[in-house]
Amino acid sequence: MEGRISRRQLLNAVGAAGGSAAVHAAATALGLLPAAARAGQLDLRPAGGRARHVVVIGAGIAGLAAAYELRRAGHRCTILEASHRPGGRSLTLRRGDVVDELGARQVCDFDDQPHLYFNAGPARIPGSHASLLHYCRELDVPLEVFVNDNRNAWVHDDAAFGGRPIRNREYMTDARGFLAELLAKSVAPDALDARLDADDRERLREFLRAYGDLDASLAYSGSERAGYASGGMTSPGVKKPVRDFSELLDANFWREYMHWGELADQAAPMLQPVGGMDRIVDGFMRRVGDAVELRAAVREIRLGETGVEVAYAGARGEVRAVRADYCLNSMPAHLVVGLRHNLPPRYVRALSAPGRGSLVKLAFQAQRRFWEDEQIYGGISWTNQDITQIWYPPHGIHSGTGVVLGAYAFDDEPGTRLTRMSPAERIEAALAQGEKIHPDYRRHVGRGVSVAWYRMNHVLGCSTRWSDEAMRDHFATLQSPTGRHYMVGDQISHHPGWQEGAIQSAYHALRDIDRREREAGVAG
Amino acid sequence: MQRSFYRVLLTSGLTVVAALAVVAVLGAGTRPAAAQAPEAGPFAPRALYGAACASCHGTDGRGNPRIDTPVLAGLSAAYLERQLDSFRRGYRGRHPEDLEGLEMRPMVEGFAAADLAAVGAWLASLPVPQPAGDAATTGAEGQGGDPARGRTLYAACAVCHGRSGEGNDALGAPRLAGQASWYTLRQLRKFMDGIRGSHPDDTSGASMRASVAGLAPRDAADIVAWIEMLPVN
Repeated sequence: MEGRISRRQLLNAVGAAGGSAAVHAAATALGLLPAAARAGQLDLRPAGGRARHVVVIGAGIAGLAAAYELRRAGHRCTILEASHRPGGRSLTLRRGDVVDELGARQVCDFDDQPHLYFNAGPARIPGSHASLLHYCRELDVPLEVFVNDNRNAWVHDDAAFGGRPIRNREYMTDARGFLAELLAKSVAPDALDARLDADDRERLREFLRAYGDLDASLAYSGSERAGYASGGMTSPGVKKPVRDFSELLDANFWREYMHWGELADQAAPMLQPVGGMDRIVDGFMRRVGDAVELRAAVREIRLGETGVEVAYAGARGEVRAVRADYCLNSMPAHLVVGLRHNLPPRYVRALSAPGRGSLVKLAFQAQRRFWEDEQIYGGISWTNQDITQIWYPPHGIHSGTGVVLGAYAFDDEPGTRLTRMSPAERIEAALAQGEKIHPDYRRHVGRGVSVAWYRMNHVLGCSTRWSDEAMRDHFATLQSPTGRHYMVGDQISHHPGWQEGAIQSAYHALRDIDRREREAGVAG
Repeated sequence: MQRSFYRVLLTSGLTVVAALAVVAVLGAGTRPAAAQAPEAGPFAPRALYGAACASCHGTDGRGNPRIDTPVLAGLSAAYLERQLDSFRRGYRGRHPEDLEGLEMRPMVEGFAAADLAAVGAWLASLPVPQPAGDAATTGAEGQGGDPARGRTLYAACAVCHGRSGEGNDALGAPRLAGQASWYTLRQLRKFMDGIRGSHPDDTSGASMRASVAGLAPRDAADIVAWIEMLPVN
């Protein structure tokens, strides 16, 4: 260390020369302090004498966050929302809420209680989604822990275990035990990379023993991690018999869902707003709701030299127009294509590039929280059937009733099959598939309501499907403005389907407007 | 049910619109073509179209290939009314392989016939959209047909649909010029495969189906390549 300056010494020297602000900046650069006082915030330059008018298309999370920030900086906003409600796909259904599916309108008929809601769009927030969490703080939206991964929930596959569900923890434990034993017994000088010396090999064996809960002979003979078959309190615990590994492989669970909780965006702990995801929408509406015009369906976008003109239809079909300095457009790209417009061909080709996802969510009201009888508190059961998942609410524990998510088909194949059904057919399918996991399902749940995003009015697809090719050829085009028109929303992010992606896309556009305004201010 | 739903949407929207009216200040010479005076009557066809159709079919019936919806503007009122009615009565959009038709049918099932006719008449009054600079997204590219060969084959089609693809109401044949090529080709294939025009009540569909029974897939692509070249007038 002789001759090298320590970080403490450096900071002291910087402080002597430049004061505490310089220390703060230097410490940030050295990685000792977070980049902003709080992560996730956007700092637009105050408008001052250059207040601008921005028309925002869509009152979803991207549009609302953009309007909030623009106003905070002193700009004027008009927000046009085609639907009868704000929020976009941040949709929480409660008693009496209308599901505006094309040709198949539904009304939610859950009982009217605070814990009986269904987050039909986004439903969980990872701790790393700093901008969204920043708004939860800023808008006074209380959060609670959301349970996503639950080892006590079920794994079901028609092709394995006789079609009966087994506990997630049993599957995970046996699969890891088998893998660990296989590898531990093959740890030998000639079987592994020569770079592992004898010490490393011994430690690797110990690692694998710990990883798979192997016995001293490096054999996996079951583990208490799978949960006991019996006993374990006042009598000795009896381990469950070990599952046959080839049967574990028969279940599709290992392909993707077994590793769900490892995903950065899905790992515990996660969060949810108390009372429903749309509490965030409510929070934004308290601040910018006076600038939101509902049932204002955009019909035309016309780029001009100095601004953007947007014509839209009110509920009676009367057409109005608004002219603004900038337009932030969160309409689904595939719907912009259907507007009258003068967007350049290259931009329109880019708008046409991403696909429309056919994500479906469905929920039931349960008259009995039967999952708690099965020692399940929150989390997700998995199945190879089209419903894909069953979610158990982490809120309202022991309260009698609850809203259980009876299907979340996020892959397009099962999503398309469910989308093509009528709402009544979807409910029947979800009951028939759910009762393979919970035999008394049908007795406990009812009042189903489904949201097939591919058929939802003004949305017609979720989430955005960017193929590698479309991403390569067209994403940058849509992430850049055309004239003074910016596409925003989770669709213009590498996080489609997440509110954080929506907010970050808005920030990306707002920073560019900020830069243009600053340059114009200097020039003028 | 659908009809009353859309009417509820329309009426409950009135107060919201009135309360939040945004004053439009338009620059000279750049007035958007859609900015026109409100139409008379609370349930003008344009409003019904806006509430029930525009999400998918686009502004003023221009169609949207990304939603698999055809151009409606400028088709004849008689054709539009008949097709809407055939969806409403369930003899179009019933075949299990007619995926787009299956999506369309529930949209009109609850409408009164008179409302559908009014929407059809309004759409018929609109100009046929010119294939704009965004031809790449209207399906005009990439069908791969040979228009020269298609021109010869089209002679048989011209008997009903007209030499310029202008359509003929007396024969129940819709306008083809100006329709999105991907849509024309898809419908032609549906007729050839019996997915459209096979319902016993669909008499005009049945005659179309009979007319195309002898076509090969390549013929269909060639014919559409020719139709694509017909001017929109």
